[in-house]
Amino acid sequence: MTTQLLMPERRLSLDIPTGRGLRKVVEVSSKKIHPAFVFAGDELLPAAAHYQGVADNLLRGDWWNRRRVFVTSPRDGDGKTCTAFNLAWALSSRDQSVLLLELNFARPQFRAVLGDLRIWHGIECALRGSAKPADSVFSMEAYGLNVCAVRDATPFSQLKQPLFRLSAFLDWCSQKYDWLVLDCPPVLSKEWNHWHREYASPALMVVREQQTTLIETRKASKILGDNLKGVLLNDSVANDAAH
Amino acid sequence: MQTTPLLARLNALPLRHKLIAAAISLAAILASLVLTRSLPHAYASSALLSFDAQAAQPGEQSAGEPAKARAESILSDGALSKLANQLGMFRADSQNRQAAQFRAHLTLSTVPGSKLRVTWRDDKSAQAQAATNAVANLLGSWVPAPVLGRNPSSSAPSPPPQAPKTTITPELRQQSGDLRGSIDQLKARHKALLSDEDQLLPQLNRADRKLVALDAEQHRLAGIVQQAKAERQQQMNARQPTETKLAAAQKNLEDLRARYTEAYPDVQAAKDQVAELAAQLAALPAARALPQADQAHLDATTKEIGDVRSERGRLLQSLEDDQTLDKTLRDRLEVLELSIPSATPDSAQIASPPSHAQQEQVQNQAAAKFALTNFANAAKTVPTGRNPFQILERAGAAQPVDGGRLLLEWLGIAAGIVLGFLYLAFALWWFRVVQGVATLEKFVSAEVAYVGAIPRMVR
Repeated sequence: MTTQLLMPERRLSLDIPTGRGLRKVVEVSSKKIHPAFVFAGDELLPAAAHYQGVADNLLRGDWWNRRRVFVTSPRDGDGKTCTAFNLAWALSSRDQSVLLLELNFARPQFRAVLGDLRIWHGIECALRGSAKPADSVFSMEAYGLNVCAVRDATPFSQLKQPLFRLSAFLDWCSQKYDWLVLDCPPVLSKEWNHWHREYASPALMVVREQQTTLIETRKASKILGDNLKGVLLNDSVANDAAH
Repeated sequence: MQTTPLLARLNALPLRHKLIAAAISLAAILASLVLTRSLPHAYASSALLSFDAQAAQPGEQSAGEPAKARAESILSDGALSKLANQLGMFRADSQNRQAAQFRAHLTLSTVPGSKLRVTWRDDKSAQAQAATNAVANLLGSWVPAPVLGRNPSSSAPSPPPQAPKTTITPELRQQSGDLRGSIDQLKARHKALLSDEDQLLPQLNRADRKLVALDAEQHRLAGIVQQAKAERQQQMNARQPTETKLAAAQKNLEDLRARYTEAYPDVQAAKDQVAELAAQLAALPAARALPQADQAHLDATTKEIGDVRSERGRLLQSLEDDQTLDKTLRDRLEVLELSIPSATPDSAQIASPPSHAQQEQVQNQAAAKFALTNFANAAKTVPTGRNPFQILERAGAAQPVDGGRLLLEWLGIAAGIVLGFLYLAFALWWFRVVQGVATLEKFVSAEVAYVGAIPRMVR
């Protein structure tokens, strides 16, 4: 918070589709955006450098050949959303088009962390067929970062049909963008157990130091199985980045 | 290795385990409370009596606790058995067994200042109070039986001279006859008095028991009435804000109606608001009426307690009067018995020389005169003729003596808390948190890449 208060206020332009090919530019104050997002503050902060390092590691490996990253964690509160945003920002800063997708339909957070942003169409609208896929994606012009957020929280019981179309939707996204970063629900949520095992590949699991339990980490890695390709330690007290 | 603060680890523990720990603690505490509450209650009631130390006999004084020694001698097996029968206790047992049972509940303890405390422990409150008062009454009303022909102690002032076996003049014979007649009258009166006392004691015990029962009933009814009043107040408090809002909404509606027609939107909105508030008010529970029957019963019980107390006071006064009269009669009887000369047959008159006979006659006459005129003074000098006990404080309502139960309850509470913490400690061990890459490597497959760490940001 201190960092945020010291930073001069900036205005971030968001280009939001309103439907039928029309778009509207909305300006959001950087003070309204969650302070953990490096693009909301100073990109030169140490955290920004660490996310760049993580992006370097991702680009170095060959397991991300589908250029998709399913960011997940054993449970809520481990820092998935923050990691997904910052990782997408780090990838987009390499002149690559990146689409950040929100898949946590039950507890969406993208709109809230962007200062209660109003959007016309969410990813659930595109999956239901009530909006075109392109109308559910808004972009942050300054960073070349594209976001596809959930507009209204939707319980899992109402997602059976839309999830059926998720694969086709992701294929469309892959054609349009270089990288897809997907903010997923926690692995240990009962409803999403099966989905993670079937579809979340390749997965990057975020673990918060001194909060996530070892037993949950083991359970989550078992559920993800071969889909789990990488682990990121969040909120690390010791500097393990060089490990 | 860096140690995780316990608070942070506790915070990271899943909520369900905290709830389970709380549930274990609560269950253990409740179980211990239920168990200890199911144990029988113990009540103690005590009365205080004063003891006249001067009335103690030499043997009792050497015992160290003369009051206790005297009380134990008064509370013989027979006396205790009779008392137990009056109170309706241990009826199925034999006399000795009855007395032993009675003694098991009874505690006599000396209190500094020549006082004796009589304590009765029982699992019934009313019975404890009644038994304590019965024992106190027995000790307070006890008067030692006169010892005929007993020599007064050396400290007593000039005892009446002992009449030798010698001749009795007609005048002395006449006086002796008069004395015996008086003794017979006094004995008859004393017998009637004892019978009266025997009737008064059970009445007093009955009054005590009734008073205890009425006190308990009054307490119960007062509790019911108090609770009903509190509930009524609570219901009225719950309704009040809605009633106030409804009144304000109705006034607003009246004002709007004065200015606009019914079709005006504000009037419609106000009507809707009034209807909604009325529905809310109707949904709230109506204020409960005070329990008139319980209140009337309480008043009646209070009045009855007053009546029983006044009746008990009257009985106590009668008993004290009887005890005073009893003591006086015993004193008189003892003095009169002592003052009667030992009679010998008239034929023995021949054996005595005249000069000596004259001297003895003078002595006998003096003894009879002393006895008749100074019996009150003589009574004070006879130590065995006085009641050493006097009731200072009668037993009130029996108090629960549950020290052991309280200890058990606290132990149960402590055990519950300890069990909860033990579960928490186990859960903390089971749910160890990630503490760096080294711990992660043990739990994640070696094929999974470690892509980096994001340091904690100081915010």
